[in-house]
Amino acid sequence: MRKAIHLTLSLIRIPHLAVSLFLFPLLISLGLVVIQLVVTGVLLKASSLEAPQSLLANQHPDESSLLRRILYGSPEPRPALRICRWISAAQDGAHEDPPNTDCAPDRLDVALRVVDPGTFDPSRYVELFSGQVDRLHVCKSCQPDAVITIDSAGRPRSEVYSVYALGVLSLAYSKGEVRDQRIQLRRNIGDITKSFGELHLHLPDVEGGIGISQLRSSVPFTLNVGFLVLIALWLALRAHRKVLDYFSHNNVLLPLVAACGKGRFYAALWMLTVLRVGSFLLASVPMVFFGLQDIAGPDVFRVLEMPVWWLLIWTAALVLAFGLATVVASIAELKHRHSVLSLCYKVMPILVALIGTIVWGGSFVLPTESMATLRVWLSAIPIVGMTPIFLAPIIKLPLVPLLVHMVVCFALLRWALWHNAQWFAAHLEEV
Amino acid sequence: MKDIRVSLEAHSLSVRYSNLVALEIPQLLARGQVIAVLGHNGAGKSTLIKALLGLLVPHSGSLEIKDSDGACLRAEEDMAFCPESGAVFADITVEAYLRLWCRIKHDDPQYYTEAGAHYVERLSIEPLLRKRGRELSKGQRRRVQTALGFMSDPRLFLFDEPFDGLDVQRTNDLMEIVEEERTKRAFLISSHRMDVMERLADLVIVLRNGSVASVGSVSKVCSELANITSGEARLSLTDAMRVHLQAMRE
Repeated sequence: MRKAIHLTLSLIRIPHLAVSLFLFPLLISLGLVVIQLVVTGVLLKASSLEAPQSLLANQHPDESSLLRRILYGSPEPRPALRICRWISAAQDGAHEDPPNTDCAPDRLDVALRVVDPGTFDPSRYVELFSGQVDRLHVCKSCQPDAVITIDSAGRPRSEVYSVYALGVLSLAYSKGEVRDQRIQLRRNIGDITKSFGELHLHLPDVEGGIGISQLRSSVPFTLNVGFLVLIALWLALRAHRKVLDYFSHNNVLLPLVAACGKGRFYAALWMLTVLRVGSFLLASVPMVFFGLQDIAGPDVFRVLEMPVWWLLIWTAALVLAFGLATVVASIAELKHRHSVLSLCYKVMPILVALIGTIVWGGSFVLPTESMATLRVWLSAIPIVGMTPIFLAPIIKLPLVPLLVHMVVCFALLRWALWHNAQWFAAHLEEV
Repeated sequence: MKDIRVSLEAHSLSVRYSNLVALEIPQLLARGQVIAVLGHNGAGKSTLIKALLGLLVPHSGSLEIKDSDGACLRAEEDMAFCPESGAVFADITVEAYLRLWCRIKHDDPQYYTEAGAHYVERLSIEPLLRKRGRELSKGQRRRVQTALGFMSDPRLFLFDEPFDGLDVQRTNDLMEIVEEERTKRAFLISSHRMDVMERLADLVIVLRNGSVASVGSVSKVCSELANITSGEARLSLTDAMRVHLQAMRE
């Protein structure tokens, strides 16, 4: 053990290994965690029953707008909207000019391209863009960055030629009355939902039913934990490959393994893996904990009110289930990577899990005992039942299928690793 | 003077890659100081070395290498190995590689400047110290790994094709080093260079398609390969092998 630790510490000192094994993956993984938290926050805000804070914060959007500040440099409303109807040249009718010099198109203007600019009624667009843009061009072919084309049947189609123009069109949504309507809509939906109180879906195989109203708090927690496990497994699997690749590319693998002994070398490999995953978890778990608390409030940890032993079994089952799927995919891919079917081997576990998910999800349509039994069976089968295991805290998966899944996954994982250990030893140089 | 010869013992040995039999030796007992393992490409030479180092686990049977007292040699403690292409990490200097290796093997990163300094000098590693692995030729990488192998003071040094691609000067240098070191340790050398092995080896093992075609002293192996009866003029190892291969083809 002491020798293995010594070897691990020596290997960490190789600059290339330190950077590629720890620094880059740690930065990438933490970046993924940040993205995961941002996505969670956006989804939670989108599904909120309350009016979004961003809408409530700005009480008078007609008077002051952040977007106008970004686009025009001032949050104040724009001067009265100038409507510029372009005039076709008398000679050929194809060429057209602005009506006067004040109507020269600017990139932040909006153009309405219509069949007949002389007779088109732009009142709807005047209503939308008053106080938001300076000029509304009604023309056949003029081109500021934001162009709304209205065909002869009256169907509109918009093109923007810059990100700023996208902001110009978005200004139409930030008018005071639109804001009020959006807030009211959210409140109405919230009122309807609140009038039902807590909603529970009762199924034969779920004791106490699934708390649909609690999904807002349990889903973010479950998904974030699941993604953390996935990233940790990815780091673990790539760790072995990275070290072996680096050593074999430099022809050092065989002399070093011979000099240290296979056992010591593999122990060092595992220690490097544990260090890599451990450093990621050390950095990411507090980040996810405080991030989720900040984004979703303390309710997000309501799942943790379940018994500790249940949560431990769930975590173990989750790690083993994902671990088995990734090990199967990785071993199959390594062993058959010269075959044209190697990609199939890689996606096979995902495909099997997907089929399992479809069958499992489809079973909810029929609320019968037999479907409930089918769900329990599916949940107990490794890889096939990956989704129900992943969602176990939400769907309150019974303990028996969770335990069976965990034990069978452990046995299969152990068998897969043991069965392939000799193959890997014999193909160290190839791997 | 201590007997430093080693005995290679195999009983019902079968080493496989998946279902492909790479080495099958029903019985082998070979004792020598410089053991040459000869054979064509794919004959099983590298497989034998990997199995001796414990990198390949026999599918069945046993393979052991013992000292003169009958004690089994252990790969990580009693053996050193230099692969055909040598070994140095491409992106670190030879000096950093030596320090890393000495830290792993001897718990002392400066070992190569003290107890191991003789081999740094003998194998002309000094001018290479500041160079990165990627700047070294195959021969230079092999010299570095050879020096490191000697620094671990093994009882058995395993060389995989050490003379491959070396010019006359370098071949002679390496032969001299083996001659110097053979008083301190045993060697097992896999090679295609019959001429060199004829001069160095006191025991030859010829492998053919994963099994032992002949084993013994150079003269015995030459006689067996060329099917020469006693009294006839002895052929060189190279010629004996040529006759043998010709006979095989016919």
